[in-house]
Amino acid sequence: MNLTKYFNLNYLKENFKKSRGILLLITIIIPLLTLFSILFINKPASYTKIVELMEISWVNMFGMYVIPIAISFILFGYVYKKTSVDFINSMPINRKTIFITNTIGGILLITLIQILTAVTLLLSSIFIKEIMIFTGMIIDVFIIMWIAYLFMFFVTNLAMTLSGTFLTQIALTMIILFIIPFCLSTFDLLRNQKIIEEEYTESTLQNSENNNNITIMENIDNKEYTLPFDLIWNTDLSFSNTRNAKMLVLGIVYFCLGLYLFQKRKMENAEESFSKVKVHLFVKALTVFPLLVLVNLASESPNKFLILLIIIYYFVYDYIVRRKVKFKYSILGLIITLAVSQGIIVGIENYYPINTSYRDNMEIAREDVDEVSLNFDDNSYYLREQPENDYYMNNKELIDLIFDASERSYEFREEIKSIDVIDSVNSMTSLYGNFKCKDGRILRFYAEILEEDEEKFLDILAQDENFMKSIKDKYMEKSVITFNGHVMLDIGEKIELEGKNAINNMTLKEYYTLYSKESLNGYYPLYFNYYKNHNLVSLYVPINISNEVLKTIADNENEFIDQNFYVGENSSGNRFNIGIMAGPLGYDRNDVEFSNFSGNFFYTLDLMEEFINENKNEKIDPSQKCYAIQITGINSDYNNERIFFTNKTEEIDSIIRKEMSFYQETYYYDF
Amino acid sequence: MIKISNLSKSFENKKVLENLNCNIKTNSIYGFVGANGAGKSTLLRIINDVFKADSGTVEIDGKSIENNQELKQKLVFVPDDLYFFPNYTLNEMAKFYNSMYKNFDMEYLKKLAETLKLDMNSKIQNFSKGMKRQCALICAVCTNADYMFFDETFDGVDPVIRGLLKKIIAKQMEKKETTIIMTSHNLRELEDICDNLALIYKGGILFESEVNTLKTNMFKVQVSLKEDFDKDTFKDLEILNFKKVGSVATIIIKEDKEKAIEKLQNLNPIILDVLPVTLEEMFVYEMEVLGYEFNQVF
Repeated sequence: MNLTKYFNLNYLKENFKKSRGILLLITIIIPLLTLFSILFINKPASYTKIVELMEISWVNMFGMYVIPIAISFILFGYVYKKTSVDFINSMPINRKTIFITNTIGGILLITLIQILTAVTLLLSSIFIKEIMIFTGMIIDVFIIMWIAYLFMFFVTNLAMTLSGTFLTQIALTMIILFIIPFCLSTFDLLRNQKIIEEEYTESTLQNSENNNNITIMENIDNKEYTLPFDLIWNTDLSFSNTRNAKMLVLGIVYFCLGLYLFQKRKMENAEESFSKVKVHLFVKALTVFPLLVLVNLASESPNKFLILLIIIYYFVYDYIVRRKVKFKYSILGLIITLAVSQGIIVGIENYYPINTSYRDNMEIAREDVDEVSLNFDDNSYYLREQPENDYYMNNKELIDLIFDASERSYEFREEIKSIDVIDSVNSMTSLYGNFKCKDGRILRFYAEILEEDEEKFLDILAQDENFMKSIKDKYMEKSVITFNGHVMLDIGEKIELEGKNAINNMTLKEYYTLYSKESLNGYYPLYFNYYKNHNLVSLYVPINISNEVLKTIADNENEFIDQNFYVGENSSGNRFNIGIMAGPLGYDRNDVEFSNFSGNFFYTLDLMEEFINENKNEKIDPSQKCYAIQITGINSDYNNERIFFTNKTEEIDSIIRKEMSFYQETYYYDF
Repeated sequence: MIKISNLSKSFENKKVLENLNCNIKTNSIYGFVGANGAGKSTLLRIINDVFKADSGTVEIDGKSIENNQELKQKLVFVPDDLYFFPNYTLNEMAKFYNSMYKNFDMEYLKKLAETLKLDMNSKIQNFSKGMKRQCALICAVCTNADYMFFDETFDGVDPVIRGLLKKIIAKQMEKKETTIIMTSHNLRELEDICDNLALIYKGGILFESEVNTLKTNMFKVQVSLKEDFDKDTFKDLEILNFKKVGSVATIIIKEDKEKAIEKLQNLNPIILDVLPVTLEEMFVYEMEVLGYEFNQVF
């Protein structure tokens, strides 16, 4: 087999050589900017934090929209200039070889860029002590971005085969990338808006028809398109096998299509958008359509000014992409474009089927449910970020209880609706989980139940040993321990061991009580962190903190406060808040004396500032009573949470009393 | 041999070539002449697989050029508007040609560059238009391709260099069997080098002939007879053009020169002068025979 028919190394070398400067820049810019972005994360460099996917890949993410287009232009840019077309295409290398050679060259460059970026991340993780990046995350970033860059490269190459100018290539790239997912997503949006409008008049869908407190939050079978679109539309950068597979398959299809079209390409097309006016007008119409949809979505009656802008764009477009079109054809094209676009929008708004699919997806009856998985949740922000429990139970009794309990809570709510709202909320608790339906749907749900039904759930769940095992298994992974977002370098392993042992010995009820019942006592934000199944898992550790651990944490935190807490620097618009995070042993928020204290110092902020300044180098004794005081926004450079520990609980109590006195005054004056 | 059959090409409803047929013999210099926009450059681009024809075929040595990499090794094309990679020197361009053409002769290129006083290590973009053309031509010659295509080759080149380039081309043909195909909108540029000439007009070949045949079979005489005479007096001769001013007629004759003069001698002329005919005049008269006015075509 003669490989030179498909790949010509000499040609590739020369193609690289002629643009070596810009290629070098393209190759190093992403790794370099990624490094800068990481260094930027760590200002001020004071502690080690676990870095999230977005933090290490946003540069790469932006690069995805630029670098593949630039590579495509460097390798195939000759097609946009008549002189270079004559020169290159008369050389003893056929078009198929040019296309395949340049494509392989682009793939190699993209691979090199991603390898360099991954190595940069790896070395940063090793040498920059302030950050910790999981190796699995680096590998995921490499895979996500490598596939996305390749996909973008294939799309831009396909656009190149049809375009006569670089700007047309960009316009066509956008159309190929976005037009279909944009239309489908917009149509869904329009449809959902219609449903919401209808529901608004009918009361909520679930309550009006099912009389229970189960809310279907989303259908897990969400539509995923390609990363360049999903990132803009849903700001979704997560690792998804479906999306990666889509991009790979589409990439291969686009490559084959590009190869075919490149061989058929009309090279005389250079320096003009398209060889045919009809094609030019059609592509222009496709660029106008999304703009019209967005204008239509923006308001009920389309803004005349925006419409005028679109019409101006319609005519300016010809000059931008350098294509002469007779005025009468332009006008005719504009009328047709506006008419067809408006027709489609009106058609979607009025006739797009909303009959069954969406409603069916969001409705649920107990007969539909085949299996259920449950996550414990105490409504705190962090815990909602917990990974889903993927242990599904085919337990009729449990499924019935979810529906019965939510119906009871619904009835209860209806009964006390006009009596005491606060009490009704306090007597509710919530369940999160997934329903696997008999028809294959997986629905994420949220159900409100009465606290009195909690025990019944725990009784049923306790009978299923695998349920507790599924919870415990999550804690058994090799983890990095963080406190308040900071990696515990010194005592991490000890906490991990303590935590694992404690959880291993817990019963379901013990776990649930510690996990779900809010208590200030011993409630410190300690987390097990690891990277598994392409997700950064952050698990709250429901254990009582030991004195040894508390001592280390407190010393670390107070040392940071000592160096960074400056009263006065916050006046430059960088406000901070001070609140009680955890009180002394035995302290309970429901304590009679402090039962009305909200936990935050609004009126006594100055006193707290003064107190912290005076005591910021305090070394605490964990065996004595101590307060953990949460401070948000310490100085102008640092806008994150830190915790200040103090044994001077009586002084804090006195400030709390002072704070509460303002509450009473306010209460008094308000009423 | 290059065989072009029924070649047609349009650019958005504008026909540039229409059913063009042509055969170009090996080891000859073939010239295409025609006005700007006649389709000469498009023809060369199609032959070199730069453009695709709408219909018709181009065969070189019996094979289609389309996507034929091996065959393209035998072809080199120097277009009208030259292209060099940005910031490349002649040396770097030569290396590029060397990497693309199997038979590229780097030593010969260096020799030619020296002869033409072209600095191998200067950036080509800083060269004059004529020097750039020399660079392109010597790079093409050194590929040792069997078929060399030069579009408006001598455009912008001074007469001295033009002579040198023609010599280089002639020498290359001496060195190995090479077919040169040239185009020009100026007939005079090609007349002293081409073996064959074809006139392209409105996308087709209007007229094609070997230059030698034209030169030996067409001549001009000035003649005067004792008696009064008109065109019919010379009805035995194949006359392309007849003009009489006073008693002297200027006649363009297209037939064997010796036989024609013998016929004229038999009329006992008072004056009989045989005058040379330029190639341009030959084309003018041939066009007139075909019913075209030369000014229309050029």
